[in-house]
Amino acid sequence: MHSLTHDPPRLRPEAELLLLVASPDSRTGGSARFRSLLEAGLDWDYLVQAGWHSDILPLLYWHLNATWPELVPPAVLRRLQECFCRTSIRGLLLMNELVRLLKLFERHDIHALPFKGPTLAWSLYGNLALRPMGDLDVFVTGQDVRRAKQVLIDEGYRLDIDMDANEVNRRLETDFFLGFRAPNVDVRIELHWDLLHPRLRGGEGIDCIWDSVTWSHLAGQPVRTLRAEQLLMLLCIHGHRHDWERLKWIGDVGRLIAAHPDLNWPGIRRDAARMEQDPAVLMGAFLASSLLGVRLPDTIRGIVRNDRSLPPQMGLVCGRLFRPKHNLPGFREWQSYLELVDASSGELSWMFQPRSFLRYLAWVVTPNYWTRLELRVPRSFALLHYVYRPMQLVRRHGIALVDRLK
Amino acid sequence: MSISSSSIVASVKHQVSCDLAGEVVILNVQDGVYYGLNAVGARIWSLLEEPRMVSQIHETLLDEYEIDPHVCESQLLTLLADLAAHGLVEIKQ
Repeated sequence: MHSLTHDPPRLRPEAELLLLVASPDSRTGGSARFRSLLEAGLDWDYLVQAGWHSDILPLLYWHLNATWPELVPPAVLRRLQECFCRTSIRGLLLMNELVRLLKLFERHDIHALPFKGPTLAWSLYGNLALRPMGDLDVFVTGQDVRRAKQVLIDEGYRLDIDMDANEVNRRLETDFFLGFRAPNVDVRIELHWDLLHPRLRGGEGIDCIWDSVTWSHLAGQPVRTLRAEQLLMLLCIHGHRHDWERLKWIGDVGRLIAAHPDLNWPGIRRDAARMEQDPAVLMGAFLASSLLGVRLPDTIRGIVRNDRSLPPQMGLVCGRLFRPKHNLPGFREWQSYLELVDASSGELSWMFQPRSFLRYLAWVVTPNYWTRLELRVPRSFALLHYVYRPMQLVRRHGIALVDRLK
Repeated sequence: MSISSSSIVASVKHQVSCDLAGEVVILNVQDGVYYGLNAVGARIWSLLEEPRMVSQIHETLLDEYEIDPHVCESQLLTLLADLAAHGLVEIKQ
C-alpha cells in the first residue's frame, strides 16, 4: 500500500460501477462486487448522468438487465432500455449508410477506410447496440479526398458548415477533415485525411496506415480494415486528443488490447513516435490497465509502470469522467483516483505527500488539447499555451475555481 | 427452394441485427430494408446464427415454450419461408 499522510476519499460507488461496466471482461456484470455496489444505495441520477456523459449507458443496461434488474428502480431501467433501443436503431441506420457509401466510393475507385462507428461496434462489441455512435468517420487518402467530397455532394450530402469553394480548398490544404450531412436522414459523416490538425501534431501524418490496410467483412460486405496495431494507435491518438473524456474510448482500447494479447507493441510505439504520439499510446494502455483491469503484456507494462507522468494525468481524466459538470477534479478527489493505480505500479507514495499538491497544480495548468485548439499558434510559440491555460480555467470556473481545486 | 423439417437453415452474411429489449431488428444491407421479429422470432433468429436442421430448432422451441408441436412446426416453417423470401435466411437441403 502507499504511505498516506491522510486518507483520501474513496472512489464513489457509481464510478466504480461504471468502470466495471466498461471493462472488457463480460463476467464483471455478474460479479459479487457488481451486486454489492447495486445494493449499496446508488445515486441513480448521478449514475445515469455520468454514464450518459461517458457514452456507456447501453452497456450499463446490458449488464443490469442480464444480471439483477430487480435491484434497479423501474423508472431507471426503463430509461436505460430506451437508450439501448435508440442506440440499436441508430447503429443499424449508420451501418446501412456506411455500407452504401463504401460501395459507392469503391465504384469510383476511391480507397475508403471506416474508423470507429459501426465497424468498431461490430468488431469489438459484436453488437451495434452496445457502443453509441453519433456519426460516421471515414479515412480517405490525400489524393482521393476531393473526389470523395464530390461523390458525397453528388449523393445529396451537404457540407455541415457553409463554405464557398475557396474556403473548402483552404480547409483541404490546412485542416484534417470535412463534415457532411446526409439529405433527408440524420446522418453526419466526417471525411478524414488525417487524425490531427496539422498544427496539433509535430511529426508525420497518418499516411503510414495505408501501407498495411487489410480487408475484412462487415455484414457480408468486403471493407478495408486497419490492423489491430494501427487501430489501437489511432484509438489512443483520438482518445488522447479529446483528453479521454469518455469512458467509451478507454473501453474501446481495453477491449482491443484484451482481444489481441500478441500485439506488436514496439511497432505500435515506433509508428506513434513518428507522429510524436507515443505518449497517447502509453496513456491509453495505462488507462485500460488501471481503470478497467486490462492485463498488459510484460513489455509494455514495465514501461507504463515506470512513467511517472501517467498517474497524475489519469487523476485528471477520472475527474473529467466522473465529474462531468465541472470537468476538473479537486486535489483530494484527484488523490482518490490515484488509488486505482495498481499498487505494484511503481512508487506512488509521493502522490500523497503535502508537496504533491504542487504537482497536482502543475498538471491542472498544463495545456491540453482544448487549449491548443482555442489558441492556435505556431509550434515555436507553444509556451503561450502555458499562459493561456490558467486564463481558460478562470474563464470556465470563475471564482469557484479556488474551491474546486481543494 | 421449399423448407422441410430436414432442411438445414442459417442466416445470411449480408445482414446485421440488433437486440431491441428482447425483440430483434434485422437490416438486410443488400437492399437497406429493416425487419422486426418478436421475442420468439428473436430466439429463432439467434438459433440461425449457425447452420441448423429445422427439426433441431423445432425441438429447442418445444423445450423452451409451451406450445403444441404441430402448431410450432407450422409457424416455424412459415417464418423461415418468410425470412428466406426476404433474403435473410439460406436453405441447404
